[in-house]
Amino acid sequence: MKEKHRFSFTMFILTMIFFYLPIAVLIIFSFNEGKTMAWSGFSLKWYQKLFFESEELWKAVFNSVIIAIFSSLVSTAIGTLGAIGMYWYRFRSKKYIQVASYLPLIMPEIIMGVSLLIFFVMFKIPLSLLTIFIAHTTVSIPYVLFIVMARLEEFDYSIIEAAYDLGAKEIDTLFKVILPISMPGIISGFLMAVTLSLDDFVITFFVSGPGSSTLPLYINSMIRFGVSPIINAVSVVLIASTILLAVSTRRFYKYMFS
Amino acid sequence: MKKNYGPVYSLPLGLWITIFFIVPTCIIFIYSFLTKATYGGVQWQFSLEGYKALANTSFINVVWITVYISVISTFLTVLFAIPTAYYIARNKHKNQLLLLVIIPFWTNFLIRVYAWIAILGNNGFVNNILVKLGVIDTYIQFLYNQYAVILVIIYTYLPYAILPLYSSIEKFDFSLLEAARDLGATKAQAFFKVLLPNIKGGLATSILFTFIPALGSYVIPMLVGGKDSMMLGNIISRELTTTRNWPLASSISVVLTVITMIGVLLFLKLNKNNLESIKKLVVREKAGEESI
Amino acid sequence: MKGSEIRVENVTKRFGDFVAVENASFEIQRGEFFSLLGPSGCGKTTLLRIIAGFEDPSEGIIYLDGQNLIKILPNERPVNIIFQNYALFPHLSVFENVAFSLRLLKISESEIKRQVEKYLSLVKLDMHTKKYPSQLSGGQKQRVAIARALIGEPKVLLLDEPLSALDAKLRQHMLIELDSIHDEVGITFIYVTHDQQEALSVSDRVAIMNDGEVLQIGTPHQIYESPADSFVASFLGETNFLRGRVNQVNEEYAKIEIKELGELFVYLDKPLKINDVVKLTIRPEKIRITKQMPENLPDKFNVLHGRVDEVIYSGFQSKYFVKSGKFSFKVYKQHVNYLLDETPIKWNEDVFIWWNVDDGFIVEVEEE
Ligand SMILES: Nc1ncnc2c1ncn2[C@@H]1O[C@H](COP(=O)(O)OP(=O)(O)OP(=O)(O)O)[C@@H](O)[C@H]1O
Ligand SMILES: [Mg+2]
Repeated sequence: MKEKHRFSFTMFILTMIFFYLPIAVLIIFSFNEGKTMAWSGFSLKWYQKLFFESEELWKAVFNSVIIAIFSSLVSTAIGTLGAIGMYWYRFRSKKYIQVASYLPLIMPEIIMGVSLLIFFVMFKIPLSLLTIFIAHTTVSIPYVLFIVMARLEEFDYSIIEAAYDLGAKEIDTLFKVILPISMPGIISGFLMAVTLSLDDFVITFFVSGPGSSTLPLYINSMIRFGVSPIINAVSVVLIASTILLAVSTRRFYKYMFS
Repeated sequence: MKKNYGPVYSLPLGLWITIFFIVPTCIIFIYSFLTKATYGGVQWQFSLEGYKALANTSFINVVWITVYISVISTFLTVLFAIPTAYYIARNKHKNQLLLLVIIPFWTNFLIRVYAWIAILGNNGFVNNILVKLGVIDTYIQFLYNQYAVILVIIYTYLPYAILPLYSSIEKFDFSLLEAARDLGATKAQAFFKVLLPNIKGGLATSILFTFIPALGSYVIPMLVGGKDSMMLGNIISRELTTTRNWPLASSISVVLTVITMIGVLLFLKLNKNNLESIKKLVVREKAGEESI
Repeated sequence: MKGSEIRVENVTKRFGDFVAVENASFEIQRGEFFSLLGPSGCGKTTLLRIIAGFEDPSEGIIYLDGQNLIKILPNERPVNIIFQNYALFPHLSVFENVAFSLRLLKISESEIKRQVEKYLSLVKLDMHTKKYPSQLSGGQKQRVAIARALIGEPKVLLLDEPLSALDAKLRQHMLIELDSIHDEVGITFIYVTHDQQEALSVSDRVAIMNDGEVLQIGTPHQIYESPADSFVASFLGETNFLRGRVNQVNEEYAKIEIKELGELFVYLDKPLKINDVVKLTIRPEKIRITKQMPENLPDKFNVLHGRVDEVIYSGFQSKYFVKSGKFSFKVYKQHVNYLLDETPIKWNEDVFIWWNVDDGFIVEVEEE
C-alpha cells in the first residue's frame, strides 16, 4: 500500500508542512522574549500584554461578538423563514428571490463591500456597528437559507399537511412541527453565520466607521504596523479557541441529533 | 381551502436581499455611468468617463495581472490538492487527516496572511535565521511581489480546493483503477483516463473555489503584494477611498463582476450543471466544516 | 351514527391542461366504509385531497352534512386523513404524535393522557408510547397514524392507500383491524386503494375510477357481478371478453353471434337491438370445465367445445386456458376435493366449457 501511494504521500506531507509551518512559527514566537522574529528566550509577557494591556483589542473583540450574535440571529431568522417559504410553496416572485439569494454566494466580497458602502453613503446611513451588522447579515442569509433548505429536503410536505389536518393553525404548524424538524439545519446555519461574521474582514473594512472596529479590523491595523509578538499571541488564542469551539459544537451536535 | 403562506414566509428574505444586495449592486452599475463629483461622490449626470478611463494600458495591465495571478494560483493549488485529497481519501484514518486540512481552514483569514509576513517579512523568521547563519548580511525582500501573492493565495485557498476533490475521490470506485492497471494501463494512463474523468465534478468545484475568490483578491495583494501585483480589488479600493473617483471605482467593479460571472459560466459549462449546483456546492463546502 | 354524510358534486380538478378529476359526483352515507378504487394515477389521491382541503377543486362543491366545505381550511374541517407514508412527526414520540391535536386545544394533562391511552389501546399500541417513529415497524407506524387521526373524533376519516407500504401478510391483518376499528368508532371511512381485493373485502360501497372519471359506484357484489363497462370488468379480477353481433332478442336473453365460435346467449341487462355490436364478458370462475358433455342441461347454459392449451396448478385451484375456435378462454376451477373431483384434466385434452347464461354480461354496446 505505502509503496503504491508514495507520490501522493509525499505531496500530502508537503501540504501539511506548508499548512502548519507558518502556524507553528506563530505559536513558537508568541512565547518569545524579544520583540522580533529572532528567538531570545521563553516568556509569557506577550500573553500578559494581550490579556491585561490591550483594551482596544478587547473592545474590538466585544464588537465582533456583538455583531456576530445579532447578525447571526437575524440572518438565521430571515433565512429559515425564507427556506420554508421557498421550499414548499410556489408564488410569483419566487424565481426572483431564488436567483437574488444565489448571487451573493458568488459575488466577490470586495464588490459587496463597495456596493454596500456606496449604498450607505447614498442613503446617509452613518457607518457604524449598525452598518457592519447589516453587511454581515446580508452575507450570511444565503448560507442559512440553503443549509435550512437542505434540511427541509429530508422531509415530505405531507407532515405539514398532517399538522393542518389535525387542526393546527399556521402558527402552530410553524412552532410545533416545521421549526423543530429543521432545528439541526437552523443550528448549523446559525453557527455558520457566526463563523462568517467573526471571520469577515473585506466587507467589514468598507462599511465600518470610526469607533466600530472589529477583531479582524484591529488585527489588520496591527499587521500594518509590522510584525508584533502580540499578534502572534492573538493568533494562538484564536486558533486554539476555534479548534475548541469546533470540537465542542461537533460534540454537542452529535449529542443532540443522533 | 388551500392557503399559500409562501410569500409571507419569504417576504423578509425578499425584502432584505433586495434592499441590501440587489439595490446596492444596481447602484454600482448606475454609478459607473455617472460623473465624478469634486470631493468624492457623484453628480447625477450621464457620462462614460468611468469606462473611458479603463481604456488605457495600465488598467488593461491590471486586468491581465489579476487574471494571470488567479490562473497560476489556481493551477498550482489544484496541482497540490489532487494528490493530497487522493492520499486522504485512500487512508484508513481519513477523518483525522481531513481534520488536519480543516483546521487551517478555520483559522482566521488575516492570521493566515499574517503568518507569512512573520515568516518571510524583511524582519521575518527566515531572514533572521539566514542572517544568524551568516548566509546573508542584510535581509532579502521575499514579500511584496507577485510570487508572494501567489504563495499566499495558494495557502489560503488550498483547503477549499482539497475538500471537494476529497469528497469526489472518496466516492470513486478504486477497483476501476485496478481494473485499468490490470488491462495494461500505466499508472499515468489510469490516472488520466479513469480517475480524472470520474472526479471531474470535484475538480471543477475546486477550481471554482480557488479561481473565483482569487479574482476578487484584495487583502492578499494589499498585505504581501507590490507594484507588480496590483489586482482589480486594489484599484477599486484605491479609487473609492484615496482618489475618490466613485464612477471609476464602480466601472471597475462592474468589470470585476463580469469577469467573475464569466468564470462561473465557464464552470457551469464544464460541470454541465445549473445555478442550483453551485449553491449546493458552495453551501456544502462551507457547511462541511461544521458537520465533519 | 357519529359519522357524516359527504356529497361530492360535479368536482373537477385541473392541473394546467391536465384533468386529474373529471366531473365526479357521488354521495357517501353516514358511517359508510366507502372505497375509491382505481389504477395508479387515476386521480384518487387528488379527490381525497380535495375532500381534506389540501387542494381546491377547479369546479364543483363538496358538502358535509349539507354544509359547503370548500371555503373551510383543512385545519377546521371535521375530516382527518391518513397519508400513504403515514406522515408521522419524526421529532415527537408515539404518545406526543397521538396527543398532537389535543395539545392544540386547552385540555388538561390528565384528560390528554386518558384519551391518548384509549386510542393507543384501540390500535393495540399501548406498549410503545415512548418510542419515536424511526423506531417503529411499518405496521406500528400505521397504527400510530390511525390513532392520531381518530383522537380528534373526526366525522370522516380519509385513508390514502394506508396499507400499500406493508407486506402482504400484514396488509391482510391490518385490513381486518381497520374494519373492526370502523365498526367500533362508527364514523365514515373513505378508503383509497388500487388493490381490488382490499376494496372488495371491507367496503360497504366502492367507486371505481379511471383517468379522473368515476365509472361505477356500487356494493362490492354489484360492481364485481355486474360491471358497468369493460374497464370495470377487467380491473376487478380476471375476465374473458367476447365480441359479437346481436341476432335475436327476447324478454330476458339476447343471442349473440360470434364469428368463428358460434352463438351464445347472454342475460339482457341492457336494452339491445338486433345487429348491435356488443362486448360481453364472463368471469373465469363462473365457467365450468368437464371432459364429458354435460348432460341434462336446461337451455339457460352456453356450452362450448375446446382443447386445453395450458394448465396452471396453484394449490387451491387450477387455471385452464381453453382454446375454442380462435378464442382462448380462461377457466378457473376450484379444487374442493382434488382427488375425488374426477380424473384431473390435462394439457391438450378435449373438454367442454359451460356457464349459466345469467353469469355473462354485456359491457359495451356499439349501435349500428
Ligand atoms: N400537483 C399536481 N400538479 C400536476 N399534476 C398533478 C398534481 N397532483 C397530481 N397530479 C396528476 O394527477 C393525476 C392523478 O394523481 P393522483 O395522485 O390523484 O393519482 P392516484 O390515483 O392517487 O395514483 P396513485 O395510486 O399512484 O397514488 C396524476 O397523473 C398526477 O400526475
Ligand atoms: Mg395516490
